[in-house]
Amino acid sequence: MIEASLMDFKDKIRKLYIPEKVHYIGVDAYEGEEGLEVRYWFFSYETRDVVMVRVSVKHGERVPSISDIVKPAFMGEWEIADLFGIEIEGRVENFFLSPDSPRAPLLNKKKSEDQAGREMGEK
Amino acid sequence: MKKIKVNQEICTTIPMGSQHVALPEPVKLVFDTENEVVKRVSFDVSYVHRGIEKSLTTMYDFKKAPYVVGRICGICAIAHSIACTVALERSIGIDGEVPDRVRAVRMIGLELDRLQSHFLINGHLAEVCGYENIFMHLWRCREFILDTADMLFGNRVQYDVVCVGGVNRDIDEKTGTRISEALEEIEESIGFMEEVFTRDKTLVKRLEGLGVVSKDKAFEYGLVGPSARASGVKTDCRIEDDWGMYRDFGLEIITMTEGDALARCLVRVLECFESVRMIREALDSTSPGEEIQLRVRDNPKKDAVCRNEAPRGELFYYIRGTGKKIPGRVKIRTPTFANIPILPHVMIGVRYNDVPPLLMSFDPCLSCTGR
Amino acid sequence: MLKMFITSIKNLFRKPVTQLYPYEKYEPFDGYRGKISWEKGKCTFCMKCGRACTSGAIKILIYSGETKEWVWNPIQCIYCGECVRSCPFGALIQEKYYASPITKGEKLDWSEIEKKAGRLEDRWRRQLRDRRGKRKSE
Ligand code: SF4
Ligand code: SF4
Repeated sequence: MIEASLMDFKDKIRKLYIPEKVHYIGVDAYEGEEGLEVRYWFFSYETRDVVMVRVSVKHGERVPSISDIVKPAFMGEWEIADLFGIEIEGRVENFFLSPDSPRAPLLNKKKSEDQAGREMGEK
Repeated sequence: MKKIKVNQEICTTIPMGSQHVALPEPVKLVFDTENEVVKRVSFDVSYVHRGIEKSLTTMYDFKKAPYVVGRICGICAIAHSIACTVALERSIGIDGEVPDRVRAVRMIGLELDRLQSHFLINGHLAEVCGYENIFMHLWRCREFILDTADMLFGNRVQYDVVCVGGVNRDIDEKTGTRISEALEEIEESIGFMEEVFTRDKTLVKRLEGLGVVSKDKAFEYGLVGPSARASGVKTDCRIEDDWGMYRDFGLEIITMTEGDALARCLVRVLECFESVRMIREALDSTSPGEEIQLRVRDNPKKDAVCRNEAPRGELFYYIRGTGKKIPGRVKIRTPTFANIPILPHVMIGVRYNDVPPLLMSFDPCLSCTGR
Repeated sequence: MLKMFITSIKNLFRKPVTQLYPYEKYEPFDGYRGKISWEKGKCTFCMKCGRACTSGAIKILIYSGETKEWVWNPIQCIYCGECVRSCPFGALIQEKYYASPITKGEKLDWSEIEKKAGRLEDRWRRQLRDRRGKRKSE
């Protein structure tokens, strides 16, 4: 696991990611007690290990896209942008959710959590 | 259809989807074409989001999760269930204790699933090429596989056989022998499929050289599964993250170097032989009657990941255990999600009538992608 | 090419692999995941099946007096068989024939049942909590 901040995570990923040796798995976000964080998952063909790059961000902070380093990353980024409401550079609106669905459904909104869960379940 | 200008040239915009004959599931692709040749592609996958990740963290406790994630996809249901279960077991810390029989039954399920999925997609590809006859024939062969699965697990595609700590039904002696007989028939039909995709002029001419992905491109775009293997990338999650006994049985990774649509089909065909071999090995290596379910007392407490090889490629599960019954976060990265980013690049310069076979040769599964 | 042609000709005379349904009855394999049947005499209304159920398709209702009823919603059920395995008294069996289609008249008013059962479950949960609290205080 690699800890990184919003300033230097791109450098760290650039150092890590060599297309022939490292496979890009995906990007994910998680909202815990410490706040929001974005995780980038890689798999190393040589050591057969899953490597996680963890970047903690604040709500409403702009996250630069890594798709100039890791080409297929844009899809995962747009996904978390839709599901978590994270501002990602160059994102396309409503790529993953339909225009009339609830915004940022995976964030823990304390009040409406149950309601959202029920809504999701019904769908 | 409307005409727009891209780089000073007149282009025709052709939307494909969200419903289209060539697509089993809804996705929208918009092509800008110039005299039939595709110049630009944009896509939208926002039609089938069902919020399964959310429901796993709010509604269902972890013992029900394998059944819930099985509903993500109709074709590779058991791949999802297995990946989820293995990740949960790692999170609880009992993955080392899982008995061999359980691993064998899971392997049989996954490989049967792979067989029927490969038959399905190759048949569908033939249909999209306009070869209805092969489509019918391959799906007829697929019927035997589905019957076998029905005999084993009680359902045709939704096996629902995996649960946390084991499997919930065993394969008895009598069914085992019947499976061995059925496998022979299945092998014969795979032979037929191989013959079709290597000899038949119509299909070979149509698919050869279509949508070539070079090895560098495959690495660069992180392709997974048969699509990557057809370009010469030696990757297989069954070997890399072995939850079963694939390494013991010496699973062979099948690769090709051409990287075109035909190679992608052929990789799938050859994989079917390998799958049959794996089922045989799994049936022979263990005997029924061993313990098939562990008692699970703990809740998931660690962070755990699992990479599983679904029929379409690498399936990634991440589970954040919080010590409660309901996990904190479940992340699902499906194989098609990794295979879509390259589509706009391979499609540029292809004639529009070649687009459906090209798309189907990547074996997209959009319900998985939307989740 | 010739071989393909021969295959095609052969196919003309082969039997279909699928069944001609209305004329030929489908006989499921042993162990097919069919409907769940409940035996009243064996059940103790412990609610283990309801808690294990993946889709929440099992509820237990208590009418005035002591008449209890086990209700199962065949539409919501996903036929996973988890309830059958969880029942400690063997009161549930998964049959190999699937549940017959539901006509309008016999459709359960499931939301009503859920509401009723929900109130009951709340009461049970409260009682359980009270009991636990007592044990702790002792
Ligand atoms: S688990 Fe068995 S005994 Fe308990 S309520 Fe359900 S059917 Fe009745
Ligand atoms: S079979 Fe599964 S879904 Fe149906 S009632 Fe039993 S536990 Fe619930």
